[in-house]
Amino acid sequence: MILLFCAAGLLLAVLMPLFARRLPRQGPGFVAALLPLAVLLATTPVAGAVLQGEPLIQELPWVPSLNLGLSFHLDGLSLLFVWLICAIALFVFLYAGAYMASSDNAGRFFSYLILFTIAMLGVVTAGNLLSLFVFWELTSITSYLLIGFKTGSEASRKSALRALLVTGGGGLAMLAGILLLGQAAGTMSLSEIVERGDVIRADGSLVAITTLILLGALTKSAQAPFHFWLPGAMAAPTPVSAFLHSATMVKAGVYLVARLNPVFSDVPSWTWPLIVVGGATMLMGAVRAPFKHDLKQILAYATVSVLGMLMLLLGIGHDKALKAAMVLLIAHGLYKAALFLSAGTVDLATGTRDVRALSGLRAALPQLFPVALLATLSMIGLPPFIGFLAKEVALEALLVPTPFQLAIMIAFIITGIALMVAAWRAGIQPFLGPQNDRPGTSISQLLWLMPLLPAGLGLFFGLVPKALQPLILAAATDVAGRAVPVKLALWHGLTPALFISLGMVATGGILIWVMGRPKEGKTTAIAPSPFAASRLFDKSFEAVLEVARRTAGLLDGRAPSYGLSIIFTSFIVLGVSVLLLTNTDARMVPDIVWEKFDFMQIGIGILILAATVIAVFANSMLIAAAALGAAGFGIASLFFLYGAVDLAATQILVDTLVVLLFVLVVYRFPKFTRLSDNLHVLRDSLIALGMGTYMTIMIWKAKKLQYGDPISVDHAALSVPEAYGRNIVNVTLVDFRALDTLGEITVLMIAALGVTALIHQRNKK
Amino acid sequence: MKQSFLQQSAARIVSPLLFLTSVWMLWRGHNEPGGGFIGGLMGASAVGLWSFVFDHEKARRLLPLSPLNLMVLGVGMSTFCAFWPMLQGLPPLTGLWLESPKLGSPLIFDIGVYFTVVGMVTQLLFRLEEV
Repeated sequence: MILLFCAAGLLLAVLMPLFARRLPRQGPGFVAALLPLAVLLATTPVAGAVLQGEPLIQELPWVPSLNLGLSFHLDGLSLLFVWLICAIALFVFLYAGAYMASSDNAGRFFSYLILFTIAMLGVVTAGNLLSLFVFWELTSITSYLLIGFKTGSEASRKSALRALLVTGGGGLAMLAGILLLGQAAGTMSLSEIVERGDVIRADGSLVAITTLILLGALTKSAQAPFHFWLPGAMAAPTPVSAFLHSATMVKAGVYLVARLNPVFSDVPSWTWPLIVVGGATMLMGAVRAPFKHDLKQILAYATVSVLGMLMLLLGIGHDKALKAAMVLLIAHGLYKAALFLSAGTVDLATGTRDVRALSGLRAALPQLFPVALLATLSMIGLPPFIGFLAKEVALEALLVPTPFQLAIMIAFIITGIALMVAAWRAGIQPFLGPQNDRPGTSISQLLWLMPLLPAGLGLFFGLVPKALQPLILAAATDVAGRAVPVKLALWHGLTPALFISLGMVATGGILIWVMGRPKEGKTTAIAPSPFAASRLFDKSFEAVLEVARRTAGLLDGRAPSYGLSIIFTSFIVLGVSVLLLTNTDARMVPDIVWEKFDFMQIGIGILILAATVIAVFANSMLIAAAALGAAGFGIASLFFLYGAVDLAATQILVDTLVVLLFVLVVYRFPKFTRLSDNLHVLRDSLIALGMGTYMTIMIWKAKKLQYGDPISVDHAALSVPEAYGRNIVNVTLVDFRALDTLGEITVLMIAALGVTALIHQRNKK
Repeated sequence: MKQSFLQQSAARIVSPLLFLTSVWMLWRGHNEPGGGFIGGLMGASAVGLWSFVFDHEKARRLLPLSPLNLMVLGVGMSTFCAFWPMLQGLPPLTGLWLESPKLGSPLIFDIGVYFTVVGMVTQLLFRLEEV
């Protein structure tokens, strides 16, 4: 079933750019929204069983001996994420239909969005570490395409590349960790890994595993010092920010940490980084947020902070903390999506996102104000919103004695106050105050209706938290690996948590009043320090490019054969050293049995040699090309002699075509001229001869090495019964080794694209 | 690159023959020497011959799709063959065969290879001719 959705979604994504033009203005949004809607509807009937603890499993094995296969596993935690992703997708897609209504590229935009959604759903339903990794990287790639959607803007392209490199680098580390984990556990299946916790914890590479996997999760979830890509990603169109960078993609790291929690929850190298990095990020993001000018930047830093909070809670790891993390996940997803969408609406209506300039919008955008208000109140954490519930549960969790409890609690309180100020600045302040002369243009209803839905849900779930209880219960149970008691209620009594909360709100209110409104033109943002991670990243990136430029520059102004001679010489030096070090057989040359050669083979051999000599000493390109072609035909004849008919036919055809193509290009070239003096010719000849000799010796040696039975025996035996073909070569190409062939034709396509691009470049000049 | 009348008349016979031979090579590949790569190269040669003897606009019109689109079609077909078995719950790239006539998904894969090779070679030919 899940695979069907993937396939359907893929089809939709591919077709979308083609028919998007024919749909009415906001049509693509509605069409795209069908996917999350369908997933929501399809998962509802099975939700009952899943929430009772019977996960839905679907497996598609591919290479069982390598644990390769697609496997989907829907349990409480996955269901929570699936519903969160699909609900927000629904709202964002419909919103985006209106937001992108004036763009010609709407089809391509929705295509990417759909692909991302599939990838994200794949991450949270993956039952197998390798499937998870594939979908994880897919989210990085689609995020790259979406952030850099405005291909004309250099800022967009740079941010997109930055995000890709950071999350991709983390992903690479994560892959190493996954492979180690799979080895330690003996399986790649997530459900089995959870069961084999003791085996894994006893393994010697435990620290490496936890560190590498955490690197993946922390980069994806924008934790310090890898956080800097997220504010940069705000260059993306706002629906992308609302969907990916607040509610879904960045939460993938949180998902991974939650999913592996049963295995690593008592492992210090897992929990300490989570607590320290999460806590530090939480504080840093919150303290930066209120001082940013751009609405989206405020929201971005706030997101970084909440992600840190989630990591912190998961690191602390006791029952109340896990419960708090699950509630916070939902609460944050809802209010942040609503706030981002409102910010987008404000941007469309007024043309700016600068909080120093925005004022009195409640007159220009009357329907948007209550929406933003609802979302902001949830973010601040006031009752009866779900944000309040999340904050209370988090405070209760932090009140349970843990190491460094005081420091964590202080950090949390400061965070809460700072986020409150940030929320005010982003969500309410632009609407209050005197109306300045920025007129609001009239906007489509969807642009305020869509943010209303998540904001409204935030209110609803706050009032009726019991509705969420089964979901949170199931999710927390999965994260903990054992039954976790969960009771959700808005009013917990006059607890210490409540008083702390009241204190935070009061302090926040005072701060807001004291800080007032940021003045137009005045910079309030804290400048990044010289050690800031983003600067380090940019500098390293530049450094890598500079090294590449200098290295390539070594070949500037020299004939192409110079580079070739460098390559050949290094090859010979390295190769001969390896040969001398590992050679066990003193004989370099095999025993040549002269009787085995017949007249034909010797004759063809001489012909090939003659053709090669002519090619070397030719004085024009045409003759050289023709001679090389003749050598190729000679080789093809040898293939015929040995019975490799397909090989020979391919060789002849390719040879002919290559010579023809070559002639097309070079028939206008002048005759060869002697450019080097005798010494250089001698040197080049020696290098060439050395290379040729070395390769010949290697081929002879390779013939003598035999590591096992050749697979051609099996292929020959199975060719007719299983593949219904008598031509073993063809059967191998299109059946037994079809995957390799698929790779080869993809390379052909890329090569053709490369040639096209090169010629296009040349024509432009 | 317009050539003489003799060459044009010869090409009018040879080119279609080359094309038909290429399809035949594709078809017989499974049991006799041949297959997608060889067929594709011959098919591309047929187009190449036409473009040398006449001009490349006329040759371009011989193809139903532009060379790039032909390549995409080819790779797409082969990729489809990879994923099609998965819809039936089998591992990817499993060969799916009809009983009679003996036709199967490897044939579709090979046709995809054919299109890709034709597309690629003709693309190179046309682009390099422009240079």
